[in-house]
Order: sequence, then C-alpha cells, then structure tokens
Amino acid sequence: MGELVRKYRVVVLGAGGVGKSALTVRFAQGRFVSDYNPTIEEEYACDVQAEGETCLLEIMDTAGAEQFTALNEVYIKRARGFVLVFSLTQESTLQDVDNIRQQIQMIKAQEGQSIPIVVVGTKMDLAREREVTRDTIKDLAARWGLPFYETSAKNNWHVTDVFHDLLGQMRRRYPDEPLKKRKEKTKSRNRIDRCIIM
Amino acid sequence: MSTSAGRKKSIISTSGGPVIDIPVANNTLLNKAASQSTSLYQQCSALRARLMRVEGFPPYFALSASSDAPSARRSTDPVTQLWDCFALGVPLCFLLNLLPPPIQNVAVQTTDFDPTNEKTRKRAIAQFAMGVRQIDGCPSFTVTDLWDRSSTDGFVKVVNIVSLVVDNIPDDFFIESPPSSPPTEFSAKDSSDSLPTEISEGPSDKYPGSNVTKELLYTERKYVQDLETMQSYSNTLAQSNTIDLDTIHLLFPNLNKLLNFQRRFLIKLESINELPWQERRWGSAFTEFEEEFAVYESYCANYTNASDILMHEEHHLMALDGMLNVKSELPAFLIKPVQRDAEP
Repeated sequence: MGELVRKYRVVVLGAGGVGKSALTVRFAQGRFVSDYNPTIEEEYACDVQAEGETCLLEIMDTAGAEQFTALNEVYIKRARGFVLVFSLTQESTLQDVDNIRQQIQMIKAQEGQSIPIVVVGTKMDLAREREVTRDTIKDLAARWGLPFYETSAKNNWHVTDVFHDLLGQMRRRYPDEPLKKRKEKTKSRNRIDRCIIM
Repeated sequence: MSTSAGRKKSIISTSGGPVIDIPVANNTLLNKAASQSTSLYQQCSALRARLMRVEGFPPYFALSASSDAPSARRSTDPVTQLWDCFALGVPLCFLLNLLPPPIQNVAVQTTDFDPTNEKTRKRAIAQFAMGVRQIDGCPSFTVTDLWDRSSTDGFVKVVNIVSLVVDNIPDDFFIESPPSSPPTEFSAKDSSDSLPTEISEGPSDKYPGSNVTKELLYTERKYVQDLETMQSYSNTLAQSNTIDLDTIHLLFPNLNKLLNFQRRFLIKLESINELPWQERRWGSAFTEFEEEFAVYESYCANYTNASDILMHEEHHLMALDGMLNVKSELPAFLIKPVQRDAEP
C-alpha cells in the first residue's frame, strides 16, 4: 500500500504480425491471444521482481504496420528499454529489427554505449515453418552485441526471460530511475499516504 | 535572471544619462499574476470557442456528446468536452486536413465513421500524431497521452498541439461569428483574445460574497500555474543530470499527483463559476474532492525533509537559477502547497 517502486518504460517494436502483442500480453497478463487483431498502441503495466525489489514495468505495445512506423521515433525517445521482435518463421522480419536497432542507436546516441535492448524471435513452437536458423541468430547476436531469445507466447517459452533480462539491463544502466507510487486499482477509503520517504 | 532586478542600486547607465532610481516591483515568477493562457480550463474554453467556428467541426462535438459514445461523462465542462471529442481521433484528422500545403493530408475517413469503434479512433489518433510531426516545432505525443484518462499531463500536451494546428488553419475555414454576438474586429485566429480575460465582473456579478469567490478562483489559477512552474523546474532538473532522480523526487514529493489533482479541482471551480450566481454551489467542489485532498499529506509530511535537501543541494541547484533562484524563489515555491493547504 502506497509502496514506492522504480518505474521503467519499455517499448516493444518490430514488423507487423510477428507477435509483439502476443508476447506482451503473455507476459503482462499471462494469457495467449490467438487471433490476430493489429495493434495501434496499447500500454500495459506490471510489477516485476528483480533482486528482491519490486519494479514497475510500463510496456508500450506498438503498431508494426508500416503506416505507423513514423511514430517509432516518439516511442524510442520516451523509453528506457527495447524489445525488438521478429518472427522465427519469417526471415525478412529480421531486417525490420536491424532498421529499428539502428534508429535507436541514432536517437539515443548521446546516452552512450549500452542501451538496454533484447532481441526476440517468436513463434518458436511452429518448428516446421521456421526460417531463421540458429546459426543466423548466433551470427547476428555476435555482430550486434545483443542478447537474443527464442520464444513462444503460445507455450509460454522463455517469455519472462526476455523481460527479466531487459529489466536487469535497465537497472544497471539507469540505477536512479525515480521512485513512483504504484497506481492502485482499488482505492481503500481509510488509506493514508504515510511519509514513506526517509 | 538577477534577483536584485527590482532593487537596483547601480547608477551606471549604458546610455550615459542620469538614472533615476525608481522602486520597481520584482518581476519574478512569484509576483507574476495568473495568466489566462496557461489555465487548462481557460485554454480549453478558448479552443472550444475557436473550434465552434471552424466550418464543419461542430458536429463532432455533438457526436462525442451523444450518449452512446463510450466516453460519455456527466460533466459538460470544456475540458471534458474537448477530451471526449479529441479522443474520437477523427476530429483531429479533420482539423489537420484543413492545413494548407506542404502539410500532407492524412488518409482518414472523416465522415460516417463508427465513434464506438476503439480501433478506428486509435488509428485516427495515431494518424494525427504522425501528421502533426510535419509541423515545425510541434511537440510529439502518443495515443496513450490522449487515451489515458488518469492523468491530465498528456491531455495538456494534446491541447497545445491542437491549438497550434488551429493557429495554422487558413481564415477561409472559419465561419463568421453568429450575428447575435457582438461584432469582432479580430481575425478568426485571434478569436481567443476576445474571450473574457478577467473573471467576469458585470453588475449582475455583484452579489454577496462575490469578492470571496473571485479571490478563491483567482488564487487557485495562480496556484496551479505555480505548481506547473515547479513541475517544469523539476523536469529540467532531471534532464540536467546534476542531481539524481531520487533526490529530485524527495525535493518535490508527490508533485505530479498534486498538480494533477489541483488541475481537476480548478476545472471544477471554473465550471461552477460559469453558472448563474444563484446556482453556484462552491462547497460541492470541496465535498466532491474531499478524499483527494489526501495528496497533501505526503507533501506536507515530507516538506521539512525537502527543505533540508534544498539546502544540501544548493550548490547544484544554482545552475538553474535562471529558472528559479535557489535562494529567493525556490524555497517560496516549495512551501506553496503547505500554505495553500493550511488556508482556512
């Protein structure tokens, strides 16, 4: 109650239809969205434990459709951490990840080297349709110097790893994110905002 | 900014002539009167008046007011009205598409859309958010800024952006004021200037207690602006990397929430003030927001701590003396919420 937590803004970017929302909703709400309904913009907030401390992740799920990519710059400027998503079943979506990666580095150039980024391959369960090989991923991970995760939102494979890795990176990179009072869903009548800050 | 501007003792003049030392009121932010332009309510009220004169726009107000729209709310104050209307998304695109080249139109169907379809609305908001990026110096915003009703910060941004768009709409698209209202010499763009800039003071407004309520409203406006000054100071401080963010948070405990509450409280007061005086129930503002006044608890409880931090960090804060002087102004700002809350 009235507990102070550190808040980190994350944005999920990637081509249309790769499964950004499926990944985000699986993590934030623990369920799998099977039908495809293109996102415009959706924000999720969830508590994540890191080294015994509760953090608030504000995850912005974005539109992958080409017509909306002009907004990416706005999202990138506001966020601390980035989840770049491609589909393991569609090799061309790696190109979008590369473009976004370069855009982030351009926009965040003055923040120095280590920008918290995680690259995520989705639809790992669709093994037969897989186009992106392990070798390709190893090669890119080394070239870009970024962690890669292969996931399945459907089977809940490695989804939490993605966000925990990113949170760890953000905590190291921005240890001074301000403490925020967590938004409370239900207001209790007798709640007293005590002087928590000492 | 020099703090001694008002008490200048210097007799050295660049023009060489004799200088008569006349006492001048310190022209600091502390002494500045509340200006109309920055009160969200006044801004929305002015913007609504301008939008009512944009040819083809008024039907959108009707659309957002129709009860089947998901965001239909009880209140009819201009802030809520604009918010409901803008959240339809499509009206924003309609405005953007009135701008002359080189601004490119956004491809959105501005008639016959389904105002209850969330996707349609969000898509239009996103289109607008991308479209305004063509305007030089236009701030950026995201769909969530307008969509999230829990904070006024995002909406303040959107109101500024829409005002900027309306500034750029050619005069031809503004219809003449209805003949019933007094003729105005101003061009359509200046129409906001013709709105009353003082709290209305006609003879009919001289009723028992009018000075008290006028004072209340006036000082509330000023107070919200002071909080906004503190917020922008705090944001600038955060960007300057001189003090860590935790300390900034301790210096202005709960400021964002406080400002957000006070903005909404002021909107309520302003809407009461619009009523005929016999119907003004000022007390309702206080009873309606009673619980929310609790935001003051943590601010006041942490005030002493904040003052200590202020002294401790003084040498760092001096870098921002151009905004607020750390010795003469910042302490006066810090105590404002405590003073405001303590007033009977």
